[in-house]
Amino acid sequence: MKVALVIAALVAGVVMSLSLGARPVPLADIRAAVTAFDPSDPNHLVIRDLRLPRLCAALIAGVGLALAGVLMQAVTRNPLAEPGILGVNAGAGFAVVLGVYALGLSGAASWLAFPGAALAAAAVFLLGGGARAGSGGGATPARLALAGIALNALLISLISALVLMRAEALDVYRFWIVGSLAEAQMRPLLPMAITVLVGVVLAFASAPGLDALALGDEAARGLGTRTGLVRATVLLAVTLLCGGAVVVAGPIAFLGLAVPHLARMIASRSVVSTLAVALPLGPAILLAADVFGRVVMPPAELRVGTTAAALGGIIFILIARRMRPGEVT
Amino acid sequence: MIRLLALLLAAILAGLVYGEVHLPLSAIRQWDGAAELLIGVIRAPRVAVAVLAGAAFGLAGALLQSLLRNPLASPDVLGFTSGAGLGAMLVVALGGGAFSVTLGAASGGVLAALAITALSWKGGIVPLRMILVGIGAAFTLQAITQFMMTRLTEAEAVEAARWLSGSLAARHWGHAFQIGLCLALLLPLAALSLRALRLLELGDEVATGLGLHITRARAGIAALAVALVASAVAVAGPVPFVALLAGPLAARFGAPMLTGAAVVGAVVTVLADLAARGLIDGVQLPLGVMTGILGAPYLLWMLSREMERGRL
Amino acid sequence: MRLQAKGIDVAYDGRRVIEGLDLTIPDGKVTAIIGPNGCGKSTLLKTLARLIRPTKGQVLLDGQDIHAAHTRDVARKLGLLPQSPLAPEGITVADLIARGRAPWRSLLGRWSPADTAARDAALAATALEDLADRPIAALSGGQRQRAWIAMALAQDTPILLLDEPTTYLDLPHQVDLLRLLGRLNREQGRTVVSVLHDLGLAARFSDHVIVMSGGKVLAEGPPSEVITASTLATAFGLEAVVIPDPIANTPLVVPV
Repeated sequence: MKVALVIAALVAGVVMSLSLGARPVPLADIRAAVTAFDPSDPNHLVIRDLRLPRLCAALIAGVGLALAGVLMQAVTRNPLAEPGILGVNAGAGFAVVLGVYALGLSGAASWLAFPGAALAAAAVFLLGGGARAGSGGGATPARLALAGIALNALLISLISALVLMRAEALDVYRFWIVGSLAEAQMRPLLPMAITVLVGVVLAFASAPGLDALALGDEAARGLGTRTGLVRATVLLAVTLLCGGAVVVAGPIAFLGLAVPHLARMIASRSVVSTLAVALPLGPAILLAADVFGRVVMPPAELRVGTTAAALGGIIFILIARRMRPGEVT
Repeated sequence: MIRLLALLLAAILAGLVYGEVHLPLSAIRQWDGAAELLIGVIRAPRVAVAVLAGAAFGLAGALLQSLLRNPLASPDVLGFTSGAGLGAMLVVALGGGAFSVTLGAASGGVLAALAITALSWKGGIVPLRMILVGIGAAFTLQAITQFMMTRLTEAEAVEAARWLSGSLAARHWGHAFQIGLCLALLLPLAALSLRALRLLELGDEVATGLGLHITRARAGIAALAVALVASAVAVAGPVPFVALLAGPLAARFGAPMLTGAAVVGAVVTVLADLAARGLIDGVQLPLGVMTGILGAPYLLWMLSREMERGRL
Repeated sequence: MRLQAKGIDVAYDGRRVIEGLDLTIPDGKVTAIIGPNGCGKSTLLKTLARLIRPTKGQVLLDGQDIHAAHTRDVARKLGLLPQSPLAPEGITVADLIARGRAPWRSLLGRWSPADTAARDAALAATALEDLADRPIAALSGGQRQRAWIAMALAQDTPILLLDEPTTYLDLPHQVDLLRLLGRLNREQGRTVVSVLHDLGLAARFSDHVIVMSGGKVLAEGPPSEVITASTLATAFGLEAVVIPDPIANTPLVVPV
């Protein structure tokens, strides 16, 4: 029942995303734009050239960030883990910006997002105390969050330096700092869709192992789980999911934080069902945030990353407040 | 302390002499028109603002860190700086002047500090919970600031974006005078708060046992720190990390807690600004980008040290 | 009697820990508060030290409600050493002790000869003269605890409250510390109240024992009268035989 509601919300989000905006398009025209495209109809052009790509980007980024959030929270056993806060998105973004501005790459730079995300994910886990599991409790929420903001701040400063050095348009800067779905038609949507899809498959494949890991490393090994393999799969999945999302939408924060928590309220606590709910829920929320940003004060547009951060900060506070002092440290 | 003051002096001299336009020493000695313009009109007020704003950030950081007994509890990590940034931005968007920007920064900082304290309150303050709440609040506040920016024209928005990452471009003597006045009012209060801080350092129970009104003392010191942050944000933007690293760095130099942090804050800001405008030819980076590049690795190092000591 | 509790209820974390408790601390004696974990003994000490405000009833210091008095005036009469206090980084013994003078100094007042005298006396009483310039972090556990006691001594108060001062010390240091408290009582006439964990030490080194159980005072009086098999059975659920200690003739608890 609740899952049906989530899917209905996603459908509503898709429809609103296509029809609402600075130029409202009636439903009939949307269907016609897909089935009987007429290049002379401006409504059809808006749908084909702008809104459909934007919708695709939102679906890719929504799925990617939401599932990455579920995986990161499960593998770190940390309710505050999230690709935006922990600097994984910024790592992907920095690598792409570096490729474009420092190495002079163009289209190929997008692929640098993946090593960037992987390095950032590994770095934040190690810096946050992940390697010290033996002494003093490993990667606690506070440690990870602080390592994340430090890494994030560093990478964002470096992105700013690289972009501002070229005195580029403000929009380029904002895309890489805040994240946005505008100009989605210019992003490599198809390759990133495929990448994220692979990430989704890996995410579901790692789910049983993550459920076992929730009992602690030793218990998981006792149950016959190969913990190293599970972690490696998760790292690969997070890399593909975040990298793909960042290439099409920039480093959007907090979607990956909020969706897993909402999904766990809807689904049972197993990782598989959380992933299954997060799959439609992520893009539904991202689309809602995007539509909100487009209609709240036309003709100006609020970047989806801004809306997400504004709401997400509040969610972060609520989660931090719910934790007992012992869980924080 | 002497070493720190010498360092500050050297940093100020470097800030005056070096820059995008190279000025030969002979020109400086003769004090010709070019020297007058470059040093007297462009660089001197900029360096003055850097010294004073840096000192204010450093002092505010040291006050909060010792108040919460946690080296991570600086106004930037706790989200106070973002609040001041938002307040200032609101006033800028409404077209306010220098004085009202300071006032806006102050109200933004105070409101953010109150909100974050209230949100982290759960029968008391646990510094780590407050830090986490501050991190979340900073995200929301920065997003609202971004939202305000969309109301500006493109040219204003570019300017605002630079300012929001913390910038000392085009500062004039008016700015220096403004922050100087604020510090003249706030420094005596900082001196007075020192004794209360020394007791708070011993822990709430001991401090109460020694006859300190801890709630009152806390509120006063926090208000002082917020006022310092707001004064600095009004002239330099929400520069990250200076407040975080000034206190602990000063301690490494063996300098007294508050004065040391102020001097280190000034040194770091002047040098970071120098690097931001002089490191890459023809490029003026915002100061905040530079303090971010310098400060974030420091935060990471501090995290790993705190973990080694088992305090985090 | 200078320090009293009158019908106090105390809640901690929203849970009522102490209920309707009346208590008088005997002046000029060494008092130990004992009881099983969670009986409210630390909460009682904190309430006596005005760190916690009772939800009902009041704590009286010299006949006045302790929360009505100015906290600085209270600090001149009543010193406090909490359980495992944390010293700031890099602080020296002398500096820590100097901070104990806070209630005697005005906002802008300078360090006075009286302050110096009180600090030196505290150093001497705790035998820390040779370590005055050492950082606290460099001291052993026993020395560190003595430094904190010295800080409370420099505060120069007739009443001294200590919350489990012997925690984390090994037995010889526990004994040293309790002997020191006894000396302060005998030689300087201070009233000493400590929460103690160890029944044997409480019996051996105090004049007056308060046994708490379930947020109430179960028994109080001289150790020989209070530490009995029946009290131990009621308060701790401990079956024990109590015999006179062969050296000091104080009660000795032998669990059976």
